[in-house]
Amino acid sequence: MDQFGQLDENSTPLLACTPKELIYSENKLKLFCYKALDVPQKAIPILITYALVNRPDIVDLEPDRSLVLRLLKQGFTVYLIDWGYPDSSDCFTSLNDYINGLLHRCIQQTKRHSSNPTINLLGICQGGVFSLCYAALHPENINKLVTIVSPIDFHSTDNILGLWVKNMTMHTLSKPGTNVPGELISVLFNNLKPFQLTHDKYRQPAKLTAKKESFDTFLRMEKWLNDNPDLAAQAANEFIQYFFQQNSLHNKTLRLANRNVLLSNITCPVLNFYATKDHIVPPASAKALSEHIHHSLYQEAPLQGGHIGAFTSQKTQQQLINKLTGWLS
Amino acid sequence: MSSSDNKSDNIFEQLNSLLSSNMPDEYKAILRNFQQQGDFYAKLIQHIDNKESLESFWDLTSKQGFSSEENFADLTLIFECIQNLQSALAKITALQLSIGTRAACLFNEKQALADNSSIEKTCVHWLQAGEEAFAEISQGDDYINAQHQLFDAIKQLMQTQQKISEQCLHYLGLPTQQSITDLQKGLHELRTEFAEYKEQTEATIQQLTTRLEKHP
Repeated sequence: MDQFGQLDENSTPLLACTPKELIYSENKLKLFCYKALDVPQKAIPILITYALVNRPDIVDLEPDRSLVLRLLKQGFTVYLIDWGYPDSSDCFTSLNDYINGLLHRCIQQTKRHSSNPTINLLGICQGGVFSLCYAALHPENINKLVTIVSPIDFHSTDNILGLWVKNMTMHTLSKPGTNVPGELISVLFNNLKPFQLTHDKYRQPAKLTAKKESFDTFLRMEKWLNDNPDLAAQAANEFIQYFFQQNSLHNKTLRLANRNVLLSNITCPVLNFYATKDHIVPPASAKALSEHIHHSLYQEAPLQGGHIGAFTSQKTQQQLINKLTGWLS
Repeated sequence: MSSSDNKSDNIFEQLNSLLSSNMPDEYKAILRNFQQQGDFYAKLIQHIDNKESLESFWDLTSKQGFSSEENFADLTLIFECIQNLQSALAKITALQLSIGTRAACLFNEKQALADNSSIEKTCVHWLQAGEEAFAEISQGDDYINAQHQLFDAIKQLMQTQQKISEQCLHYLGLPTQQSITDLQKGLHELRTEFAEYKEQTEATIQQLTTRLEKHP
């Protein structure tokens, strides 16, 4: 327990330390380009887009568990979207604004910055849903698409989150003129496995603090878990209504900006990673993507682990990178 | 105004006619004040002539928005909302307590079947029993319905609270939620338009630059 006693502001382990450059900003959004490593460079860059509910720092948690660093080591130019922390002036930001507005402009910026007519898009969780919608609406901009733990069928079996919000009325989670509090979403996620996430995780402090490296990893993960941006109310309510309640992406009834969002319109190859022990996005929910993409374009791969561990644990991250690199090459 | 102009001598009819004309709204608002006060004074004189009760003609509360039956109904409604919330909380609490009962049962079964009773194993059984009981009950219709009832009660309470606070804001002359909402929407649209314009401009500049580089 001495490790706790040694903690102060200066010794708190930092997240997201891989050097990067800000290339575009818009309101709270920031688009970064990571500094390339001294290795042979691949031609087409990768743009990573994460969910709105947590910070994208998870893709660069620490050097040994950094998806970004592993991609850089393979010679990819890596771009990352940071959606920022919405405030009440953003409460009318809609799903259409996120997908056809912010994401579209980030993709255009990435294309120009990397001097490429198309890019590879990598979406994680809700970021994967956004990426799929985008690729269906603007197929000409995407070379290859990778989704990681991304829900498609929101009414699949074992989808407890889907069950809970299926009949929730609109604007239950936010007051007029305000956003959905990030803490509320955090509580909702913790309640999916209440005993494990609120008790068991903290059961063995001696084990956690035995090694400085593992203690630092634990602290970084805790810091990330407790850093929950509020959700722009309009987009959050639309996401609940369109995806969780109407299951409209899977049912082929989703419309954005008066256009049908049909996943069958995706013309690029798609690699879909799902986590075998995911309690937030059950494997069946993620694997439902295979019903929409032409089999000649589609591949899926399991990752042993839960929703976050699947792409942050050292072992699965290496498997993910091996599969991803081979597929992209 | 003469009858030869085909205009009514009746001031009320004239006001009505003007209010339905193409006059700008800001002037119509002023005319409506004249119309309302005309009604008020006509009723006052009528009451005085008929020797009827006059107290209500000095009523400030209705003017300030706190005495109408509708407002009282809102205040009553908030108590109903709280009762609904209490009822929903009681239901979900009862179901959560039943998770404990079921988990204890599962825990005892696991302990009885275990080869050893180390603290580690006991803790693992505690966790498994809890998560299994939770998975069973939280996906059942009773739990889902109780949770929806709770969400609905929270929403109903928030909406009623909002309605009453709007009346208070109006009374105090402070900006209402609607005016804040209008500002938020306006700011959002402005930001979006600016970002789209900037994107188009940058794309055009790049196209022109590329063309110039190809044909110097």
